[in-house]
Amino acid sequence: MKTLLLVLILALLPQAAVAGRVSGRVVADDRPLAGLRVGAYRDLLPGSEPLASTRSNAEGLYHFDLPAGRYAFFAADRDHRLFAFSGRNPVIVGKDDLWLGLQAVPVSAAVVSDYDDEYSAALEGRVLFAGKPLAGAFVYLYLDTAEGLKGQGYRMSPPTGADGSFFFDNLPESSYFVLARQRQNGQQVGPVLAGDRIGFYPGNPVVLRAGKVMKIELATVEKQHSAAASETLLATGTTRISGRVVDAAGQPAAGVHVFAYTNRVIGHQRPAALSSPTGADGRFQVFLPTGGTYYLGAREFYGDSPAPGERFGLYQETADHGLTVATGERVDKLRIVVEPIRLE
Amino acid sequence: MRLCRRLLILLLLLPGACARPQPAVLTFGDHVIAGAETWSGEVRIRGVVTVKKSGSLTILPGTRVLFAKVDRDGDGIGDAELLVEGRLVARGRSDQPILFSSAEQEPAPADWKYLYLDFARPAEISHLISEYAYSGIQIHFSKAQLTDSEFRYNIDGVRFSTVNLELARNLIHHNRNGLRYEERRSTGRVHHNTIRDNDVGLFVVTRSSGRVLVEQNNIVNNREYQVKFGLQQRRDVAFPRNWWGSTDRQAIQKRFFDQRFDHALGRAAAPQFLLAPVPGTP
Repeated sequence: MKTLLLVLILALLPQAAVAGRVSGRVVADDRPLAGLRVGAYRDLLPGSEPLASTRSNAEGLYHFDLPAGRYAFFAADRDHRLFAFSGRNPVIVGKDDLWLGLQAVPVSAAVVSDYDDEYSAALEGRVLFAGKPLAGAFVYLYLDTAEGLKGQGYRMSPPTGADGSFFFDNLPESSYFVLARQRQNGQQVGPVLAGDRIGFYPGNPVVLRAGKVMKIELATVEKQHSAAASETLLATGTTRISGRVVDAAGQPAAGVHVFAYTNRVIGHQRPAALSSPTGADGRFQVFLPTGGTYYLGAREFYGDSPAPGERFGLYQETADHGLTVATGERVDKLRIVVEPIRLE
Repeated sequence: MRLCRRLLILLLLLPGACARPQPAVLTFGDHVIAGAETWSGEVRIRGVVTVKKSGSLTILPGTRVLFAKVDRDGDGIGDAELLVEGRLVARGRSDQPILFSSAEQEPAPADWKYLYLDFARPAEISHLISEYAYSGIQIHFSKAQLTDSEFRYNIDGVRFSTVNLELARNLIHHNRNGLRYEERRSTGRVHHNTIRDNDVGLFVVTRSSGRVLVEQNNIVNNREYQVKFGLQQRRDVAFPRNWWGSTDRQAIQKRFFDQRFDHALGRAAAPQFLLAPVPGTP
């Protein structure tokens, strides 16, 4: 009934509201998977009712025409033995066509047993890639999807060892979203780039009970594609800033990211938008999720707070480093100077 | 008679003629310092004063810097502040300290935001009194020497992360958190301070491993905990050679909020604890 209602709503929407086409292919080990039910979800909740759904065809292809907005895409087979997701979830659907590949992993049932602390819960398991234990992966627990399951989350495991195992103890009884990431650069946080591994637990959110330990297997896939010009964490779009990063001598600074925060005190939180590393010419562009005031700077590494020795600089044209941009506006020729952080 | 009258008038005018002229009160809303500036006398701030990367601010002994309570974002915390991204030299004297305080008639903690050093050039601060702020001082990504000062009636007395810091001979008292820090690859030494009568003496929020050496301090009478680890402080940290107000090891450790309270936390240790207050502390 809900699905019918949604179909009716979608059918009754003015034509202009159907803004974007999302297409993609569902694969497992590069083999197309036919007949999987692909859903477009309002949130990162594969167990919820999708806003729209379709089935992948014989070549694993699917497509949706959707109103503009933020969606997550998941797919599953009829028996729920396979679960497919995109490492780019959630994505913004706008007027431009979007290609979104979904990679499938096998689903295994969680095992719940008694835990020696009746007042708290625990979660343990293994991180796998291609059916084998994955070392060097970090497992993240999030309490909600408010930030798109990005950043360090509520708890983060130490890196997995050779057996791929992880363990969280003394957790409050609650529901949690469980993800795993293994980055080639070894970092704990930061954008997941092509070649990195990412795992989204199909049973998210898991509900952990006090006095119980849940054991799961978390299968990862290799990220196939990252947005080319911008690692904007929330969206790509028409609101854009660009310019050049230089060193103290005015020479182009290569290999630094430009970031945009919505809070004046940038602290240790995640930026709203981030550029790819600058090239030899120091040029950057950042797509902003929407218009507004952003506090800008540039730094060499992503994730964690800046470290001594790291090249860092703030936008100096305003006292608070802020720049106000209208939605759809493009601001060019910005200049940011970076220097190593010196504490000596 | 006429002579007497003239003498009388002269006598009446004399004190006025001898009195030192009062320096004008400097008043700022939002203000940017991009060159060199010197403050003395009384300075009143109603906004954000920023010492830019190219700027330099020298505050002379005896200067009173008073911040109005201006709550722009409605979070209950005053938003007037002094943000330093360039150079700050604030060297008071023991008989003429520099005062950072609230301009309110009935001042309260968090009337103003903070003295904030962020990616600043090396700073020298001594004989400063900072009170009624959200943070008496915050230092991040900077090298600083902070000595012989007093931090009182703030939410956080002294707060820092990623610094090269010497914090010595300061009196830090009657704050919610006396010293609050995230070490995050900081180096430095915290010594010969008295940290007393706060709700929490040392609040070690996260990412600390003892690279900032906290030793030879009096850490006493802090009401809730002498040392409290934040929920992400997973590593052990030792605070050697301090006076904790007790010579009973168990009594000392009972006042640490660490792994003994939450299994996920690291352990706070007090090796070689002292048997008496440290000489040479305020």
